[in-house]
This record gives sequence, structure tokens and C-alpha cells, in this order.
Amino acid sequence: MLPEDAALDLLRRLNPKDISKNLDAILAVAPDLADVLLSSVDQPLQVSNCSESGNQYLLCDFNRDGDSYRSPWTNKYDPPLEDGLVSSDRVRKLESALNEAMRVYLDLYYEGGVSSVYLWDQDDSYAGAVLIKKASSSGSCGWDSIHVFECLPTSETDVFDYRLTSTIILYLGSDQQSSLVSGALSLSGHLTRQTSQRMPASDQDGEVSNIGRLVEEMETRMRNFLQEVYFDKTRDIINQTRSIQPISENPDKMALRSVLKNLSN
Amino acid sequence: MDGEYIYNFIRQSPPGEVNQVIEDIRALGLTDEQRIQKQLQLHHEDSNSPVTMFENERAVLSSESKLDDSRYYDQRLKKSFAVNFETMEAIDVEDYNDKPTISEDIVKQIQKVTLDHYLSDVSIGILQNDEKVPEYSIMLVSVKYNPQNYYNGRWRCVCKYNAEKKKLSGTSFIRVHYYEDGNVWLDAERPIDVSIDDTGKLSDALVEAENANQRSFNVELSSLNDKKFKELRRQLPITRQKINWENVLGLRMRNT
Repeated sequence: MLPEDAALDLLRRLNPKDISKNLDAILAVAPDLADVLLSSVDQPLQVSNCSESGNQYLLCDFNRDGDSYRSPWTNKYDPPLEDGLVSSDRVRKLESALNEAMRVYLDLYYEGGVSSVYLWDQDDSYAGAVLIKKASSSGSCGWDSIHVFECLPTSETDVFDYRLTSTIILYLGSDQQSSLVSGALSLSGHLTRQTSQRMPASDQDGEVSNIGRLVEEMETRMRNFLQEVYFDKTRDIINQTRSIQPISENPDKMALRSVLKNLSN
Repeated sequence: MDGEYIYNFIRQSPPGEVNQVIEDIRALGLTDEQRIQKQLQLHHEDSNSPVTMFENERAVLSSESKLDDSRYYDQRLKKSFAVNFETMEAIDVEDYNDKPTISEDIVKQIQKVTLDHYLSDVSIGILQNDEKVPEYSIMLVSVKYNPQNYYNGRWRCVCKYNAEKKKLSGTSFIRVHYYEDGNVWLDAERPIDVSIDDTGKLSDALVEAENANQRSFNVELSSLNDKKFKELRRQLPITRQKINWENVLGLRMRNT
């Protein structure tokens, strides 16, 4: 097994709550994996304040240059960089429009939270990341969306292939003061999905629409997927280990037990 | 950097996946077998991992039932054994009579609990240190490993029953790992704390306490779904209509 595959496998198995700590521990013994792991492992996003615009923005590998991060609102790095990486004018204009559009999206779907869109030039096109972070009022729950996409030209004029990889990091925990429960419960982790779609775009508005729609559809699908895994799937698994109804009084469960036994043999 | 922290990953492995975690750690070049072995044992003791003793008989591992030289004992079956951690089978099994015989009534009561309520692969451990003190450690473990479908789950009950003090106290532990297209952990625990007039009611009391725990777990899971999850991201926008992206920038202008 290659060391990078082993590192990724470990991070897929260990408790996702500790992902940043565990990633650091792996990089301490295998520093040469830094490039591949930092770009492929999704960690909860950090929030920073853009003092010039008064807006918040999200920090990730895509707006980082050295130890500085670029604000999507001003296109400036903090701490300032003389020659920090910036996009071409066309891509930067699209980036600004997308940041404005995603604020509308945030208001409508999240009623709060922070969003940031970062784009970068790529050969004769561009790629980007749409990021969203929302925490519950008590702070015991949190949602981080990381959508990374590429826009690739096709043989047709003004028609593009959009390839999207989306990860949602979701953490849900019981409130400590809750009178409802006498013990702790926490659900944490992330799920990833990919999609691609061919869409026409003849101007900037068309590109904003395409990316917006792509993210909206993906998040709506993933929200259902998260709900299924986090709530239905986990409950099903637990109900395969213990039954509230006595099994002897329930012929279905007796049958289930023998089926389970046969399956495991 | 000697990777001490990385060896601890072994102990923190999800149910049924510790051998894969060890493979990964070796592939990262960390091959101190003594440390690996130590963390592996701690993982299985923490998890009360089941070990197959004979056909249809399983023991559970625990720090309480550990002897020297990485051997463990099962007081109910009166055996001591070492463990093949690859297959989780007992090896070098020997008779073991250094501990008191667990009363048949206690064994039957506990077996009734698992027969009536525990599905999947169930394992029982019962310990009593002193013949004169009717205090028992009870460990019940039901595991559902399904790596083909990328999930593993475990229900674990760890409690102490003291017949003199008429007390049953402990915890139900729930853990699920789901790792298809991601990595999701569910962890929950619920206390067990009940009075029992006489030992004949042990199984009923334990069942009742654990049923209440399972119900409360189900209720809290639903409430997280209904309240907290919805608070994070809505299924539909507040307008109840999908966004009209063609007009979205105009909308933004009007709002600001």
C-alpha cells in the first residue's frame, strides 16, 4: 500500500471529529505527503474578518498563498502580500459576481452563515470552489459545504462541461444543558459526491446561473443523502444489534436473527 | 518524531476495523510491533471485543479479565486463553478455576436478556472477584459488522450488579461507523441506574433500563433531525421556490 493511500484510508476510518488533529499527526511522521493530503482532505472551514469590506470570509487551501489568505470581497491578501497569486480580470469579475450571488443563496437557504467563492485560471478556462459555513445558535451543530468545480471547454462554442466534487461536513451534538436526555449523543462526519453536467453559457450571467444551479441541485440532493445516512441508516444499524421488543414475542425478529446469523457465517 | 500519537490511532479505531488501521500505520513506516501490540490489546479491552472460544461460545475481552502474558479468562466458561487478533479466536485455551463459580441463576438471567433483546453476534462476560461479595461485572456486546456495505455498528452494555446493595449501575454504549463515500461516526451513551429488590428480577430490570435507553436514543436522534438539522440548511428556500438564477444579481441589488 502506498503511504498516501494508507493516510487517506486512516482518515476515512478514524473519528472525523479529530480530523485536523489526526492529519497533523500523520504529516508529522510523513511530511512529504503534505501537498497531496492538504489538497484532498476536507477539513472544517475557518472564518476570518475582512476589515476593509466588513464582511466575513472562509479560509481554505484555494485562497491561501504561503501564510496569507485572500479576501473574496477585496481581492487582497491578509497579511498583505506584494505579489500574491491573483486571477485574470475576467475570472476575478466572475468571482465577484458569484460571491454576490451566493449571498442571496445563503439568505434563502441558510438564513445566516458565511459563504465565499474562489476562482482561479486554468489553461483556457477556470476552476473554483464554493464554500459555505453555518453553525447552530448553540454552537453544538455545524455544516460546512466545500464544492470544488472545473469548467472545461467543449468542441461546441459557448458550451462547457462542469465537473463538480462536493463534500459536506456535518456535525450534530446534543446540547449539554438539554433536559430531554441524560446522556451524550454526537453524530459527525462528511459525505462526498461527484457530478458533471454540460451547459451553455454565452456571458457572465450565464456562468453565474450555471454554477449557482449546479451547487443548488447538488446541495439539495446531498441534504437528502445526509439525512438518510445520519438518521435512518444509523438507526437501522443499531436496530440490527438490539431490539426493544422481546425477540421471542416477535417471529419477524426471530427470523431476522437467523438471517443475520447465516449472513455473518 | 517517534509517532507515539499515531500508534494511539489503533486504540481509537472504529468497531471491527482495527486490523485495517494497523495495516495503514505499517504502510506509513511505523512498525514498532511492541507498541502496535499494546495499542491493539487496549483497543479490544476498551471495546469488550468478542472472541470465539468454541462453536456457539464467545468470551469478551476486558482489562478486568486480563491475566499476565496477554492472556484473558472467562469466568463463566472457566477457561483462560490467548487471542489470535487476526481472526478473533481464542488460542491456547486452558481450564481456569482461580475465580469463584458464577451462580447459575445469574448466568441464566443474563442469557435471558441477550436471548430476548440482543440481535446479531452477541457475547457475554460476567465476572465476580470474591465469592463472599455478590458483586458482578456484566458486559454484553452485540456487533454488526458489514464492511462489504461500508458500515459497522456495536451496542455494548457495561454494568455492575451488587445483590447486597440491590443496585444495578452502568452504561449502554452505542457506536456506528458508516464510511461509503465519506466517514460518519455516531456515538451515544446512556446511563443505567436502578434498584433491584431481589436477583430474580435482574433480567427484567436490565431489559427495562436498556429499553428506556434505546427509546431515549431514538427520540434524541429524531429530535436532532427535526430541529437541529433543519436549523442548519433548509430543504427549500424561505420563498419555497428554487432560486431563479437569471435574476439573482438583480435581487441582490434590490436587497442592499
